[in-house]
Amino acid sequence: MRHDGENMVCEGPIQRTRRVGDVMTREVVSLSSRHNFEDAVNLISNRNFHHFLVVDDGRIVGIVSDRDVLRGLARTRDWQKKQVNEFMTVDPMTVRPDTTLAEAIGKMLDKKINCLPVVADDGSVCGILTSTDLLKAYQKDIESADLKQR
Amino acid sequence: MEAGTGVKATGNGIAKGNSGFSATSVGEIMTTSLTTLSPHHTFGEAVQLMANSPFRHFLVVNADRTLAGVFSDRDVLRALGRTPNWQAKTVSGVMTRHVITVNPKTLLSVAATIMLTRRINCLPVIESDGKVCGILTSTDLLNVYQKMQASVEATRNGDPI
Repeated sequence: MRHDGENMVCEGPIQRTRRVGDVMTREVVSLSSRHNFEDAVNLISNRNFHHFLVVDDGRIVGIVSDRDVLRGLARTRDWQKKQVNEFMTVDPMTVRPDTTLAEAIGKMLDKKINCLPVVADDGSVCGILTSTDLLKAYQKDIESADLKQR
Repeated sequence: MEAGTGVKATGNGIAKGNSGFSATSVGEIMTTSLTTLSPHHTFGEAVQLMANSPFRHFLVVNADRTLAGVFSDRDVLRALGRTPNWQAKTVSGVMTRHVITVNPKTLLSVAATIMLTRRINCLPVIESDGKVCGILTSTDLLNVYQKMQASVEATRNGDPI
């Protein structure tokens, strides 16, 4: 998490300006664009998440969601012969660790997406921000507000 | 269609009234003008509806407006992938039946907890008479959160809210 020198006083969870770095998931699962689509299918089926990043040479080149995988399975006859790069969203929208939550949520709502890769200044991936991460942060913020009101 | 709290829906289904970041209960932010499916709709009809709509979740509602199930785009994609004769199916054959619901007075914090623990993004809202009165999705909660965060940031920057 980066600090920009602004004095972030914690008056309570709701009062602090929250940034992507505060809530993102740091463990990122990724495949290369040359991986078999079958690897993508297995990843989505066997693990507990809905998105993974496509990374080549340390750079993000795409993103695949479970909906992309399901669509691929439904529409493509010989999907076993395909590669990840044929099903991914190319050049996805990204955010930075110091992007504000309001801006990040705005991007997700605008583009109707649920996952934003988080990239550092040097372009390397340092995490992902999903709608689940945001929902968790929201729940924590309002739960403490509920408690204050009692 | 009006919710129990008397919140009216505009044409695009956004609830007016206390819909800012200070909303605390489901009824204040849920969408009340709903596109619904009947259990007897064919799967093909449902797919058409979904393809022409910005929504990803549809409530399946009986003639008496009680809830029969929920139908999401993921259900569609799964069925297309697995079911050989999907054209012959009806919505009731593909929808999710055992559905968790809330009522208009449910706290948003409770709704958020349910979505997170059950890993679902859509909660039908049922009135005390058992009839469907709205739908709450994770998008609605994120909308509220964005407004909350924007106002916090505006406060810190000294901007008028």
